[in-house]
Amino acid sequence: MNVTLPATVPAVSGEVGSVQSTWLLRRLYGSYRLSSAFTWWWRRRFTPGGWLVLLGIVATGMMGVDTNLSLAYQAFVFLCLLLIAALTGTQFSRAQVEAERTLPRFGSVGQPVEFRLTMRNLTAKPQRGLTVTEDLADPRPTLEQFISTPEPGEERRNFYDRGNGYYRWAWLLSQNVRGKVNEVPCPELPPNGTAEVSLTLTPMRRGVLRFDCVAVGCPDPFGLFRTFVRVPRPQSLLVLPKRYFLPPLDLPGQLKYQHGGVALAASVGESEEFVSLRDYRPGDALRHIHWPSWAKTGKPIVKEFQDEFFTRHALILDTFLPVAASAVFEEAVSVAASLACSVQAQESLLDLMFVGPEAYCFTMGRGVGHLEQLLEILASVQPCRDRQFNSLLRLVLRHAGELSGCLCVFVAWDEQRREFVRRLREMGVPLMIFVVTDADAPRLEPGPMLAEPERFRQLPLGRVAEELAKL
Amino acid sequence: MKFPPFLLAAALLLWGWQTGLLGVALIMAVVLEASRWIEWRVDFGVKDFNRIVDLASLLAAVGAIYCVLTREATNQVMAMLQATNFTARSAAINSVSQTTFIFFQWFPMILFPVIAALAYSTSEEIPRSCFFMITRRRMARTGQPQAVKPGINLRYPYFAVVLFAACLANQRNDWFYFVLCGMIAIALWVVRPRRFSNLVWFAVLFVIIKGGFFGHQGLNRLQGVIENKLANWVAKWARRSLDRNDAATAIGRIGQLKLSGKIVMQVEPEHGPVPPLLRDTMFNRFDSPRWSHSPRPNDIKIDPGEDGSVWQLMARPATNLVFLSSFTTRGEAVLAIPPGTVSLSNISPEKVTTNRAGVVRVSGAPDFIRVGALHGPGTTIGDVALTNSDKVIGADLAVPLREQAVVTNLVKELRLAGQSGAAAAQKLTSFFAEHFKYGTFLPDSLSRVPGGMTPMGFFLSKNRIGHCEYFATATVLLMRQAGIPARYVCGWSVQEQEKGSSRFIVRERHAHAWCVYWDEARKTWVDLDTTPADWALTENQNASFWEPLSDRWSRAWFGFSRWRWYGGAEAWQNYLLLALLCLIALLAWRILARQRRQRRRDEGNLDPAFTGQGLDSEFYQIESHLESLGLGRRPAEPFFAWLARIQPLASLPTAPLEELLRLHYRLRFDPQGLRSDEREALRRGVREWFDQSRATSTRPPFQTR
Repeated sequence: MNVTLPATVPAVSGEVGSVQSTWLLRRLYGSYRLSSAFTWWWRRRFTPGGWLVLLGIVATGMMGVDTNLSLAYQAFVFLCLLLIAALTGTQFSRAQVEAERTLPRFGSVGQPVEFRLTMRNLTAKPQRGLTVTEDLADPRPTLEQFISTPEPGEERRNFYDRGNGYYRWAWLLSQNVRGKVNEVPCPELPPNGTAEVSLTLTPMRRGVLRFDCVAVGCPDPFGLFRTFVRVPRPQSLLVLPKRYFLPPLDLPGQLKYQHGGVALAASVGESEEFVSLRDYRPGDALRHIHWPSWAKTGKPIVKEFQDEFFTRHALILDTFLPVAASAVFEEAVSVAASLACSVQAQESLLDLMFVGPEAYCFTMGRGVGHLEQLLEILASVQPCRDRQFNSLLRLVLRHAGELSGCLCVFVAWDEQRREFVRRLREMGVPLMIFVVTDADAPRLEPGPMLAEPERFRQLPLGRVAEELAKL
Repeated sequence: MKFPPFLLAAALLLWGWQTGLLGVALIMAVVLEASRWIEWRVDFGVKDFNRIVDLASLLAAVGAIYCVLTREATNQVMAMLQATNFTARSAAINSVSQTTFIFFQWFPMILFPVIAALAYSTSEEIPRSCFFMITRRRMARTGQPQAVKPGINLRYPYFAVVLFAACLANQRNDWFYFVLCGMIAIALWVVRPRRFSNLVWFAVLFVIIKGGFFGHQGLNRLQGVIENKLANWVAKWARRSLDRNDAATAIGRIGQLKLSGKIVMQVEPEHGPVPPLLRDTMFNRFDSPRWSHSPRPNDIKIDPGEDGSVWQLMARPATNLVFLSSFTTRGEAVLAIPPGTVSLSNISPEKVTTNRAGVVRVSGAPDFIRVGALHGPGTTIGDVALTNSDKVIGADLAVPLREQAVVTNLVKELRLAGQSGAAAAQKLTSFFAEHFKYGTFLPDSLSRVPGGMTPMGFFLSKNRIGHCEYFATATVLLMRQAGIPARYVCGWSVQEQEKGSSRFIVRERHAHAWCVYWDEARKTWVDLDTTPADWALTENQNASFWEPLSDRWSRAWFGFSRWRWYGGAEAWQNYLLLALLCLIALLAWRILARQRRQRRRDEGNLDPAFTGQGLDSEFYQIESHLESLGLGRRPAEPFFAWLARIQPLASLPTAPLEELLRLHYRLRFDPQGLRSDEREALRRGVREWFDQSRATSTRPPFQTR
């Protein structure tokens, strides 16, 4: 199954605020975009030495306004000329290079990923003193995203902060930064020669991480300022969710009859594992009649399918969130990924169920689906804000009869979720409930899980790993 | 990033040379550079760095307070904010700049604990989080550990701070610029990228240094040119100075002061009544609309009394004592004193001068003065008795030709000619009270005068409304025209008592002008104020609605200044320094004590193998004996492996050695140790082995191949 979901915080239309505040946000968008670009430029172009010189210019400029009061103006003139020379010098420093990137297929949130770049000198002169880094996709939010995606807890901000949307911009910017790549010195490139550079990417958010260009830093003679030569190399890498260590899980439930066996269990629709043909027996389904054989033999012949008994668990991920992104949701996805990794998939099936743009059910185990695919899906799952929680219930109830047990990862523990659990318990489905909450959330009452409190786990942010390790 | 050796020391010495703190700089340089040879290091933790950074912040705060207390920073800032003209503001800004420069010049000292801690730390960097106190506190509150990464290597920033501080010293010499450039160049050389050749690097740097030399010289000259242009422009266009000027004044100057309700003085009567008027200066020459001295009076220095704090102005007794508190401008002020003041006390300026115009000027005084003025009935300094020659010269009788027509008519009308001073004064007082009205100052009053008329002529003949300057000038001119010598006096009216206090306050709108005339009968100068008595009431109506607020601020400011200069603040400065030293000592003690405790804890937690257990084993004697025979154990070679290695070389049996080694191992590493009989067996075994060794001393116990 292929699930394609947006790579960044999705924009949700029809949200937020008065017409007046939207009008203001539209007008401020350009200036925020510009100021972010400007900040990026400053931070990137100036080396630490350059910053020191720049600060020196500001300080001596302020103190040296009156040239009769101090000698700061002498330092001011010298530093200004130094900076001018540095800015000019970068124009003579631009390198002509080519770059090839070798990326791994996946990365995981928080786990540094090393990858290689092959740098090629396109000139007949050796290239020294270069640095290499990567330009990832522009993290600045689009206008639509900026207008329609409020920051979590924005309603608690004061009127002014809500109106100008600065905090929203800063939050979206931080959400859209999906990874950081270090900057490393490039070894000397011989004339028309190549050299290999190893860079480290630290993925910060799950999803598709896009690489735009390889950026080659060319410094000025004094090492104060640098210009960047960009070698376009668009590529992408899928960042899988963060996973926690889990002890071997004692999953709830027992063997269940799986009509159609593994093949049917893994499929969506009516495909079944064919075993043989046999004579019709009263009670056989009409759709199992093999018409060509009946025609050939003159008596009704039916297809026989292999049915099996094995355990089949559902991993239910609650995606119903009122906001576009939240730390609780990210942790919930991580918990789901961790649970998926810990299930022994050789002997059982695991159905990942969640509701995105539509209701999804992905089966893994017994050679049907692979953990890798499941993690890929989890890497791209986004909060669902346009559907009702009942759609998840309907999805689960459709499969409830075949399930040995359910692992539910919730992002809240409200009445509809408790009702969801109550319904499943009434159907006799054994459950294990995980509720991810804010760090300072009060202790939750198990509610319908009161009879089995050991199967109800509250996972406060910041203590998720600790709580999971206790399982 | 490696920092070039001795560069920091050189920068510190340059700073010391420039600021005159060479001794301090030398000590700091030695302390920092000695870390290259001294191997002693302290393992500063994040909390230690926090404390050291906090100490530096505290030093900065104390430095700022000290600067405020010892320099005149506060009053300079106040002067800058309250300056009413370009010259005063410019002077105040310069003063503030100089005080700021002094503060920044201390920064190498303020930051020294941090950089010294870094120099003697096992770490090369200070966690960046240490510099953000609020973040630190927030993390501590939420129970999060303080981030150790990223760290900052402070050597380059400190180097920049030192050079910056050196630049602020303003010791001008030809070599400073080149030394400064040289030091920056060394720092740049170390971090230069290898992308350009050294030749290019040096060539560009040379051009920059040369260009900078001419550039800064040009900048200095440019400032001179701009200043001249600006001064001309200001002189041409800016409104006239509002400063109280003892050399000259003009009608309208006091009027402009009256637009402000700022408190300029506090008057506290100690004995006797509060003086209603305080004199600043007297003028005798009127060139409409300007008053000045003629001839310009020479300043006469007054020597203090024996105790150095009493300055005798007049040699006659007086009993009334009043304290006058006011601010000076960079230590200089023209004192406003009650008429009949005989002496000044409670101040210690460098110089007190006076002159015939009655101006008492102090210089080299603190920013805030609280003068005790002893006064009583009688003449005031400057009220020099008129001699016949004065009368002949007639400086106090001159009436400008342009005013004579109006004045003569009025004198005739009032029949003032031939009257005594007292009689004329009475007539004039009633004349002005009956026919004139007090009007607040209008900034464009002079421009409203019809063409062909002087301001005084317009006032006396047409308008008959004006503020005190008009009344005073008119009175002087009328008295003079009547043949009575008269002068124009500027000063202050004391009329507003501070709420809830016995003190009186003098605001700028209480600035006043009046007349003094020569009373031939009493042979003295007598004050004559003909301004209608309701003038103060009229002026008070113009008070701004926020005046109560600014009054509170002024009151607090006066109180602080009084404490600062007269309330033992100097002793407080000493206590401050003492407290600071104690704090530094406490911090050092805490860090070192923590290190000691940590060391002890570490020692307590050490594996027994590294502690003293079994170190007295006799087996070590065998080891050292074999080592002396050239059969020593290699580094990290286990004992058994060692014995196995040297066994083929041995002429003695190694079996007893292996047995002894087992006992030795148990003695060293078995927590239970050896029983007493086993311990004795080890001793005996070693002794016997040595006996055997001696018995075979004719040949070595081990043969070498």
